[in-house]
Amino acid sequence: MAKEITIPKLGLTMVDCTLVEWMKNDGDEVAAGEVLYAVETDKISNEIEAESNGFLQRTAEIDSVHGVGSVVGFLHETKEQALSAEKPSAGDVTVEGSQPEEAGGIATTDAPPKNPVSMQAGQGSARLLISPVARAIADKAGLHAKELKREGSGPGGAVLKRDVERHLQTAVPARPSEKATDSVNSRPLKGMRKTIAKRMMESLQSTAQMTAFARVDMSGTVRLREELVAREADLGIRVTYTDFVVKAVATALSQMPGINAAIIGDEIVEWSDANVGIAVALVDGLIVPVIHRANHKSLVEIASERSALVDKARGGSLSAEDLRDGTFSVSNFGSYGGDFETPILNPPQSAMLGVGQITDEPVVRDGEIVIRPMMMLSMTFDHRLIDGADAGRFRALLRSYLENPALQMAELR
Amino acid sequence: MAPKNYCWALIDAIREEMERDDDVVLIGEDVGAAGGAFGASRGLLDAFGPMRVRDTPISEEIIVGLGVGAAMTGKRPIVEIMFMDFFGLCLDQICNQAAKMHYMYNGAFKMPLVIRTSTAVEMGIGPHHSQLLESWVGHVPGLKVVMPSTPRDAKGLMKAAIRDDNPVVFIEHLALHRNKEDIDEGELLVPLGKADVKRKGRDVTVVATGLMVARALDAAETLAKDGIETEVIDPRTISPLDIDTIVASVEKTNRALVVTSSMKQFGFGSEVSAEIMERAFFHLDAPVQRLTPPFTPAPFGKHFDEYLNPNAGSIADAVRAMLK
Repeated sequence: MAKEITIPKLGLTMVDCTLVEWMKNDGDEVAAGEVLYAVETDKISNEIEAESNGFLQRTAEIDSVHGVGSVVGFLHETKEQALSAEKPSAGDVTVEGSQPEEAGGIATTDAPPKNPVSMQAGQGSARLLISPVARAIADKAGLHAKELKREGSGPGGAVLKRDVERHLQTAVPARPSEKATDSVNSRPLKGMRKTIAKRMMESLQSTAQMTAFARVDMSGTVRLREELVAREADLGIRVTYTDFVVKAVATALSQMPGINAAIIGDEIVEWSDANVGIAVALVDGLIVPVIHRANHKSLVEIASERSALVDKARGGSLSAEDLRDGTFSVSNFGSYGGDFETPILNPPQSAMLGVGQITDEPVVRDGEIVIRPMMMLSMTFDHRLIDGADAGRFRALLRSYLENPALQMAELR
Repeated sequence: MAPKNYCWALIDAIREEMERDDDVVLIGEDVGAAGGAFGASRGLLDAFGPMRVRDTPISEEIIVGLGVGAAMTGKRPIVEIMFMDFFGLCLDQICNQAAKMHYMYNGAFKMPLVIRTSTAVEMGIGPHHSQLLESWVGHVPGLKVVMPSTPRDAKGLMKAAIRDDNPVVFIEHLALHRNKEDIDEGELLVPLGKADVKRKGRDVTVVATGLMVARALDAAETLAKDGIETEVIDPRTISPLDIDTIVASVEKTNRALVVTSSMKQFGFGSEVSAEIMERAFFHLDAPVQRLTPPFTPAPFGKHFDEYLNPNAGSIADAVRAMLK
C-alpha cells in the first residue's frame, strides 16, 4: 500500500503553504528522515522529511499551494509502482463515451491501483478557480488573477468576490502615474517583504489596536545587570536589558493570563505558557523567534536562549519550531536610539511590548531633581480583548518588576 | 382594509370584474350550484345567474374549447380546470387553439381567456392531484402564466388576467386558500409580468414561487439572525418572466437560489438559472442553485407528501451552503 505524503501543520495559524522545491525525483528511493520537499508559509521556509521509507511518487507541482493535510505525493513499496502510478492532472478527465470501446472492459489485475488523489484533481492544480464576479472585479482593478492564487476562501480554494475585495483593500495604492522624479530603484515586492507587508496590514485591519506608554526608572535593573555582567564568566552568558524585559514580561503574563490570550475564531483562548517572541531585525525584513515557556525559565536561561535564537535568525537557520506558537512579542527599538513607538500586533497575539532606550534624565524624587536612567515602555493591546484598566494593571506590574527586579522573587518557584 | 383569505380574495376579484363587465363569464365543473369544488366561486351563481356562471359536464377539453369559442366571439370567459394535473386532457385547446388563435388569424381575433386551475401540492391527495406543471404551459408562446402567493396578489393578478386580451393560465395553490392578508377595499390591479421583491437583502437572492414564497421568507428570517440578508423575489408571473428584477437582484447579491414545488428537471428553476447565467454571469460568485422536490410522483398521504417539498429549514441550509 502506498503511503500518502501530506502537508504537516507547522504553526498555530498555518492554513496553507507553497511547495517550493522537491529534493527527490519520481521513483527515487527515500529513507525515513530524509528531506523530501521544501515549503514556504507566510512565516517561514521549511524542509519536510519523509515519515517512512519508500519510493517517491510526486503528485504536486512546484509553486503549487496546499492546505494543511493535503496530499502532495506517495511513498510506494517498489520503484515500479512509484513510476507507474497514475498522476492526477486535468488531462485525466475522460469524457463519457469518448473512450475507445476496447478500453472500457473490466480492469485486469495488472492495472495500477486507482490513485485516491485523482479524486481531488483540481485541488492545488495550476488552474486558478475564480468566480465570474471575482474575475470581473479583478479585471476592472487591473489585478492579475495570479496575484490572487493563494487567497481563495471558497469551495476548493476558489477565489470569491470577498477575497478580491479583501485583496484590494489591503493592496498598496498604485503609484501615481505622474512621476515626481525618475525612479532610482525598483524591485518586485516578494518573499519576506511581501509577507511582512501583508501581515502588517492584516494586523491593523483585523484588530483594534491601542498603545499605552509607561516611563520606567531602570536604576534597580541597571544595578542588577551590572552585577550580573561582572559575573559573566560564571554565568556563561552576558545578560542584556532585553532579557530582563522578557523575564519581567513572562512573570507578569503568568500573573495576568488575560493578557496572554488570543481571539481565535469565535473563542477567547488564554494560553498556559508565556511564549515570548523577540523581534530581530534582518538585512531586509524582520523575524520573531520565540522563547517558549519563558515563565518557567530563569533569567540566565532566557539570556542563553535569546542569544542562540538571534544568532540563528541572522544566520537564516531558524526552524519552524523556533517561530511557532508565540503568545506575546517584544520589540527592542531602544537599540536604535528609539524612545517610544506604536508597535503593531503580531496576530493572533493580543499584546506587544516596545522597549525604548535607557537615557539619563532629570526626574523629581522627594522634591529634589535627580538624574535617573529612564526607559519608556510602549505597549500595544488588542482592545477587542483587553480593556484599558487591564492594560493599565499589566503596565503597572511590568513597571514594578523592572523598577524593582527583586519583586519577582515573590513569583519564583 | 380588511383581512381576506386567498380564496375569498379570488371570489371578490371575479365578482368585481363580472360587475364591471357583462362579458365576463365563468365556466367549469361545479362552479355554479356547488359554489366551486373548493368553494372558490361561492355566491357568484346567485349574483349573476346561470347564463354567466355555467356548470359543465366532466370534460376538460370541452370546458376549454367552450372558453376559446366564447373568447373569439367577444366574451371574456374564465374557465376552470379543477386540478392542473388534468391539463393532459385539454392541452390541445390550451396550447394549439387558445395560445395561437390571435397569431394564426393575424390579430383578427383576440383571446381574452382565463384558464383558472389549481395545484394541490402537499395536500396529500396523491400523484394525480399534486402536480405543479407551470413549465408545461410556460413553454408555449402565446400563453401567459400566473401563480400568486398571497391573497392580495391573487386578487390583483386575477383582475389583471381577466382584463388581459391574451389567454392566461391562472394557477392557485390550494394549500394557500386559507391564508389571510389585509387587502385594501377598492380597485386592486397587479400587473402581469412584474415580479415582487418580498424582502430586501444583500447577500443572496432567493427566487421562490407559490407555496414556497412564505417558506423562503421564514428562512430569510432565520438567516437574518446569523447576519445573512436574504432577498426574496416572487416572480408572480411565470410567463412572461420578469427577469430584469431577478437580474438586478443578482447583480447586487451575486448569488441565487430558485425554490419551487415543481420538479427540478426541465423546470422553472432551470429557466431562471439559465437566464441568470446568460444575463448576469459576470456577477455570479457561486453557481445558481435549485431547490425542489425529488424527481418522483407525489405519494398518497400528507405524511409523505410534506417531506418532498422544500421548507424553511432546507431553504436556509441551501443558502448557508451557497455562502460558504
